[in-house]
Amino acid sequence: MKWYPERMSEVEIEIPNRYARKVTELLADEGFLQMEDVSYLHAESSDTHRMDWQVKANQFANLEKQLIDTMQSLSIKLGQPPDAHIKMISEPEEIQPFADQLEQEVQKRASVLVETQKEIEQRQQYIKLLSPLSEVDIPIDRIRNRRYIYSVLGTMPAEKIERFKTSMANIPFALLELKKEGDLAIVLLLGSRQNKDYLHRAARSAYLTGIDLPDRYRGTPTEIIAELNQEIETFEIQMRTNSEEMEKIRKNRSQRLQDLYWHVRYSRIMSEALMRYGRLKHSYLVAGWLPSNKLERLVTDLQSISSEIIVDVKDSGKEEEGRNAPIIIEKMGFQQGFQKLVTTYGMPAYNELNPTLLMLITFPLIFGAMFGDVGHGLILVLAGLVLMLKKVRKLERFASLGSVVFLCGVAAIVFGFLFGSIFGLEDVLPAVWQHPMNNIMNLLLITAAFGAILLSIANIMALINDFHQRHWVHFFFNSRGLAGLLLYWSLLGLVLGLLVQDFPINQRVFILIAVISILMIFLSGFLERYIEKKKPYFEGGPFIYFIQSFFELFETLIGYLSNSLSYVRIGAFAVAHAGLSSVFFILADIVDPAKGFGYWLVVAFGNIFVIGFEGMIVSIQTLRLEYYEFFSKFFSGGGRKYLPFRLGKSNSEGAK
Amino acid sequence: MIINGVSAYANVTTRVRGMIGNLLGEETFVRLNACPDLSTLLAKLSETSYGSYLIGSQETQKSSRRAEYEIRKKLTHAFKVIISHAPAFARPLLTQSFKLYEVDNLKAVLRGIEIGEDWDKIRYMLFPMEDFPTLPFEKLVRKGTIEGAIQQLYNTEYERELSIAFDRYRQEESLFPLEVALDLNYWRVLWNDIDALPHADEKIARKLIGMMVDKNNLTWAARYRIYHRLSESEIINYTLPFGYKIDDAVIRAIATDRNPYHLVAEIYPEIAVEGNLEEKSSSNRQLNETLLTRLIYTACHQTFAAGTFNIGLLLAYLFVLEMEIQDLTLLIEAKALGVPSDLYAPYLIHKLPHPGKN
Repeated sequence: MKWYPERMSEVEIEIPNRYARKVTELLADEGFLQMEDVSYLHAESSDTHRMDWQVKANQFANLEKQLIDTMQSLSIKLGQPPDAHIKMISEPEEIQPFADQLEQEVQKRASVLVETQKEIEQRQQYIKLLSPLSEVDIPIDRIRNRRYIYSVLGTMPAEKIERFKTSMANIPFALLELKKEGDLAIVLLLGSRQNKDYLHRAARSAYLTGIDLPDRYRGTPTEIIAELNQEIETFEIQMRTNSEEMEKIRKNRSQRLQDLYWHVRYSRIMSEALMRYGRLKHSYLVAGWLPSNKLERLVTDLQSISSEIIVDVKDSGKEEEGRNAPIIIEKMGFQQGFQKLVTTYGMPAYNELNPTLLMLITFPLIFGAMFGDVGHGLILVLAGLVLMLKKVRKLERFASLGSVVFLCGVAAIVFGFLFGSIFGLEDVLPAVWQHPMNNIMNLLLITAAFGAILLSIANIMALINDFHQRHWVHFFFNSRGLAGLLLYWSLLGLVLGLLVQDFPINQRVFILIAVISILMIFLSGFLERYIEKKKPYFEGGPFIYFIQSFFELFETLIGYLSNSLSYVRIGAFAVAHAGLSSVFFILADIVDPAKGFGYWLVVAFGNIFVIGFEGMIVSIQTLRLEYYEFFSKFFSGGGRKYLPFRLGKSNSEGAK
Repeated sequence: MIINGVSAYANVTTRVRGMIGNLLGEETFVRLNACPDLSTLLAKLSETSYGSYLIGSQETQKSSRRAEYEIRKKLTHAFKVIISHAPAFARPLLTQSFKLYEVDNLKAVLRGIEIGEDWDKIRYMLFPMEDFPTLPFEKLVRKGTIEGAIQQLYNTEYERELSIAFDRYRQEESLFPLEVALDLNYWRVLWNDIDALPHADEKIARKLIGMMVDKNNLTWAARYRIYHRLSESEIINYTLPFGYKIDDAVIRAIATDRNPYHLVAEIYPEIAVEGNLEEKSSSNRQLNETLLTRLIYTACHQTFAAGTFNIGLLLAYLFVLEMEIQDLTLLIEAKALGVPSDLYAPYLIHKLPHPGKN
């Protein structure tokens, strides 16, 4: 992990037409050029070249989708890109017939499978409805299509049966409740055919859904059920045959389909890249960013294709480079969790310090001080290890946070020894330093001092950033620059002078430094405009400038005070942690004074509560101190992630 | 029991008594009715207890639909206050009462989907549920089809009724079976919830909710007969087997084309005061819902006067507030369309004094 992002170079590549595809393949293979929009190069990108590649890109995209659908129907995974060098397919038409034929073959079988499944389900529904009638030894067609009898076999909501019977008070009918399945009843409605219409409407209004058994089913319910079962068997055989055929296709075509998919995908990405190239009369233009240490290799590789390819390394100046260059975020194992916490706040800008390393030290330190307990820390260490080792599948996605939890646990153990606390017990371990509850004021003062150190570090980081960016006015005069730091230190000196007897430095020195610093901050806006020759030097007029500067200065002073006091919470939470743990011991004593099972149950529950609930609150507080008190002094974020053009799932596809 | 009732209902009764004081009086309705147009009406209405609902939204000035939507929030808030302060045993019934608006919303959404309306047009036609937990109506609309919307309702209390009725929707391509299934189920559940109340509560709840069921049964039966030409058995199946005074014999009589006004007048003689029944039945074969609602309105006011500590006061207040909002909605619509007073006044639940009296 580096303090500053890797150095990037901006290049423009002019490629003669005949090498365009080859160069694109090379760029995709190498995978380290992040392509940029080339419109600012005044390239003639509106000609038919763009249209041709756009058409091709669309064709490849359709083909890719077609292949994915076919592979999904055959349960073939997309797999990984082949190791061997992939060639771009010249024309989509080359493989379209194969994709069409295979799609037809697979879709035909897949739809047969779906249809067959539907047929089976329908017959199973018939069987469910007919089963209650299985003991009736009368052919069903004799019940169904009688000259004088109208019948409906079906289901209806059980609670509607009584209402239905009421509604039929004036019509002769019989309603046989054959079976109840949950809220539904399987019923057989019988009535005179003369009243067919009336019965039908009444049945419908009672939400009686009739079984739509086709006329071809004849015989007793048992015979029909047997026939239906036989049909189901036939359909199942059909399904098996179809599934076997699908399996055969899957086995035979799996490798070919995967290869083809990656070629098509590659060709689509290539076409999309080519579509975005700038176009001159006889050449293409490509622009982008790459790590400076890869520049030489790129130039050599391009020259090996042709010496006619021109690579122009742009020197846009440090400031512009800082604004535009993308940032490489490395995958850094142990530090990855902390990097994630940093990027949640903001992506580091190209020319500013990446605070991940600082966070790696300060985050566990602050957390441990607030959560100091050997036992609780040990549990966090174990939890961190479980996450890091990826032993639990469901927690795999949190693996990167494992290191954060682990280090927080280690820090909690260290502070646990310092505070003499283990699983909330304050009298088992001797305190290497002191029990938090024993000298609260001392603890709070020490944490305030720790806060002052962290704030000073943040200010020094801001100075380093200004120095790195050659932002001298900011460096010397800004409230977060040297003037701000001196002001803060002189105020600290004044406070210390009041608190410590016989303080070695005279208070007048601090007063003098404070006054000079205030003047420097007061004039920073004016100086910035004066040095940059921006008129008027007093923005908005001298009066507005002075009013504005006064309030900004006031805000700075208030900010320093509140930020410093904010760190007192570290001590307060250390005390709260010990206090909360002791509450559970008091509760346990009330529940079971004999220190039996009940006592230890409450203690165990208390510890779980402290680890879960208080652990969460402490994490939030730590993050808050990092983000708002620490980062905000020197870290602005606003960088953009480096997404090179390459063939792969986790990277950018084509030039953006 | 009375002492129990007093202690359980003391808090909520005090609050509801205060809320009753905020109901609009006859004079206010006369003033609102006299407004020449919508903007004057809304300005006058803003001076009443509806002011806080209307002033907050600029949109209410532009659209009558939006104003109607906003004033309905008063009923939602009343339900919220009453449910949260009512005794625990009364809450399920009150919560189920509020579900009526969810059912109405669901029906409106299904109708919207059927005619292909988009969410922006449908949303202000719905009853504002505010922070009451409810169905994801926007998601239902975005499903675009009735089938999709019903699938979205999987695992809700409406799933069973809708999936049973869905076959008929598919065959008949009409929302009628779905809507009837939802209505019948809602009232059945509400009626069953009354069983869980203590005796005094049960008695008054059966009366007030029973009168609502009576009104529905009568209007549904008359509508099914006149507009849908349904058979007797269908009408019975599509109405509810319970109520306060109306039974199946009355429904059957309506189904066999008996004059509904005469039938109702036999049970609720007060309705005869409302004018010549013969004239009504020939000029307006559809049973006038307003007349039936006024009966409930009177019963609610009698409950206010009774001064007892039970669920009756809460239900009566909520019913009267709903009627008040219905009347205001009618006034807003009428003023927006420029309909003269004598055309809409008969449909107001709050009777306006005869013009001669002013």
